[in-house]
Amino acid sequence: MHNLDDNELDRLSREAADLFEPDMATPGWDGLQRRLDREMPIRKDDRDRRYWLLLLLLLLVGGGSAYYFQRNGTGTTLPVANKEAEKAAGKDRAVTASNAGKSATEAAVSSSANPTSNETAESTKSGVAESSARSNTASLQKAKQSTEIIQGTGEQHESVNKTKAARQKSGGRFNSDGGSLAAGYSATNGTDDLQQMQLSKSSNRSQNPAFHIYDVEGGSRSFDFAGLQNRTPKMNVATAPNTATPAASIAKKEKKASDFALRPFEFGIIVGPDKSQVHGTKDGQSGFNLGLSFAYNINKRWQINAGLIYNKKYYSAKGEDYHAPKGYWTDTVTLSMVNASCLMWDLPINVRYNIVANKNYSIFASAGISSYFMRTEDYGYHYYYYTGQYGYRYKSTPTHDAYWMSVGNLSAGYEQNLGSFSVQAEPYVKFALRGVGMGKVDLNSYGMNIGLKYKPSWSLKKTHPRKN
Amino acid sequence: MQFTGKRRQPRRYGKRIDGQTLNFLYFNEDRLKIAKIFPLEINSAKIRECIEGCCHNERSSQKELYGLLSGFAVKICYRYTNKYEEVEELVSEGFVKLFKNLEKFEINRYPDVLSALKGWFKRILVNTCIDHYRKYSHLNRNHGLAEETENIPDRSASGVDTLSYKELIESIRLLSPGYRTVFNLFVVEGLSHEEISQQLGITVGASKSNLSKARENLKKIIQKKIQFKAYA
Repeated sequence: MHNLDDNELDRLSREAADLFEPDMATPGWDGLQRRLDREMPIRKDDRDRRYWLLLLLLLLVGGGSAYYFQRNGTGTTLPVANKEAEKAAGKDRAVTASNAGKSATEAAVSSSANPTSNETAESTKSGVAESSARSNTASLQKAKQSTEIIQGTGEQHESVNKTKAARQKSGGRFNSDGGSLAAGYSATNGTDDLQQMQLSKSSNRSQNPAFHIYDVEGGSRSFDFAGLQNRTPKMNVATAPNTATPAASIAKKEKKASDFALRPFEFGIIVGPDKSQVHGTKDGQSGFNLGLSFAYNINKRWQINAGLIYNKKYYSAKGEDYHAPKGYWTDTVTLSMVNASCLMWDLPINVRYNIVANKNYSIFASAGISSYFMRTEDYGYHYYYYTGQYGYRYKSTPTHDAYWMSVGNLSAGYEQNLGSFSVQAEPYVKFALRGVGMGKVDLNSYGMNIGLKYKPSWSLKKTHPRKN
Repeated sequence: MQFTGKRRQPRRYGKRIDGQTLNFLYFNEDRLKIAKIFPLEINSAKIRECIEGCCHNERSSQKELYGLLSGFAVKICYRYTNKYEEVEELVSEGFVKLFKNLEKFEINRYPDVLSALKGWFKRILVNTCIDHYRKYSHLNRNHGLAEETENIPDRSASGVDTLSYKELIESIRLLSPGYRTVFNLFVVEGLSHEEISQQLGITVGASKSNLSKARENLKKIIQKKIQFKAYA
């Protein structure tokens, strides 16, 4: 029996406890991580939200701008249905104004017929009727001048004389305010000469919708001077700026549509800075984008665009985010950080919607997917041995790996039209749909593409039917 | 066969890495293994950064610290239980406690951060093992030798008649939980009987009694091992 005393046993035990390394493998990190996620959950990094907030802000700005322009009716080309509705509303307003003018005119006529009650009649005019009458008075004055211009016919000359006679007959004062002028001229409306003049132009009247409105009035004594100006080229057309006929507007719209149809394709170049990160890591170095773009306009609002962009991306990834292939040398160490610089081709395919589609500029938002085609992957590995010793290794690997549809694109931007050319600024966010590169990292990027685009016009040859 | 107390000194294979850090590889009679590596120079700034990251609940920093201290944690917990799954549980529990309380660690107080952190973490692990023992002590009333100690297999590759560290640690693990805990706390951790009695909730006399019986049983186990080697 050996003579192992207590002190010797204790000393051996202490040495063994200090120097012995158990055979068992250390428990995996995954189990502890799950437990930590349960007991010490991580608050979502705010940096991930910033990109979404930025994109949301851009979309809100774009949408707000679109709403503003549409509300003011400037710049934005409204859809045809909206235009028709607006025209109908305009006609209603014209009818209302004519009615108001008519009532004011009748009141003025009554006042001129009875000069003693002129003051009372003027005081009893409603505010709306008065303003309408005054607005009509301006056109009446102009129409009066125009009528005097064309008073080559004896009938019109006679009607003017009748008017003067009526004014003299009224005996009232003849001042230049609207009511008196309206009264004076509305007296001429009651004469037959103008009715004859209207009847003589009935063929033109039937083609002019403005006359239809007054015909519906049925016996109205008001006079459509705008229509008169339109159907008589001799008159001063400049006094009626809103007298564009629907046919002219339709022709203008058709011309715009034809212009748009002739420029369905766009070609351009893209250049811009690029910043990349993996799960919120920071990297001070910026990459770049340089490439070509191609777009096809489906209609005024929608566009499909694609590109071929040469990318240089710099990023850093934490060790746990870098998933090297199994059997790679990194399996034997604990990766701390990986610094990467990659050259790649980016093939984006996006769908773009023009929030504001103007002749001069567009505000748009687009979404799509990108495919990466790696050319060179350079990695600097910072790692620790399991003993705690620090190490660094640099590896440069030319690759030709393709990562189809690995990245999603979201962007919004502004495009300024310069004739056949256009310049656009497009901030973008690219988010990983799956891992890319040797480390299968979730590579997210953001930046801004500046593009110069050319829109060639395509003259379509008309195909003639075969002559039999 | 007489136990002479002579231990096989591991052969040392010096290996210079990067010209700065000297690591030692030890040769065991069983196989070549890394027994102990003494990094002479540890990136203290990196450890501080790692600790600060853990204070902010960053998983990457926690993983780094886990990679740095997991072997150390296993070595301590391994002596307090004889089941691998319990070792893993104790290690995980210890790390969770470490990460939860690491902000209390005064990082600027110690020049050697790693040593201080290891000492601090060791206390956490020992307390975790004690809590585990107290939690399951009612299930382990048997203070006798485990059944397998009556027939200890010789797992060593050679029939060397000397006692290795592994055999000694494995012998300690074969003790009953009560004896093993008192033995570890008194002999290895250096606690007094009063402290042990407070920690385990037993009397001082019971602590002394357990220690005495633990030594006695340990000697029996070691003798059995040596006899098995002699007949092998």
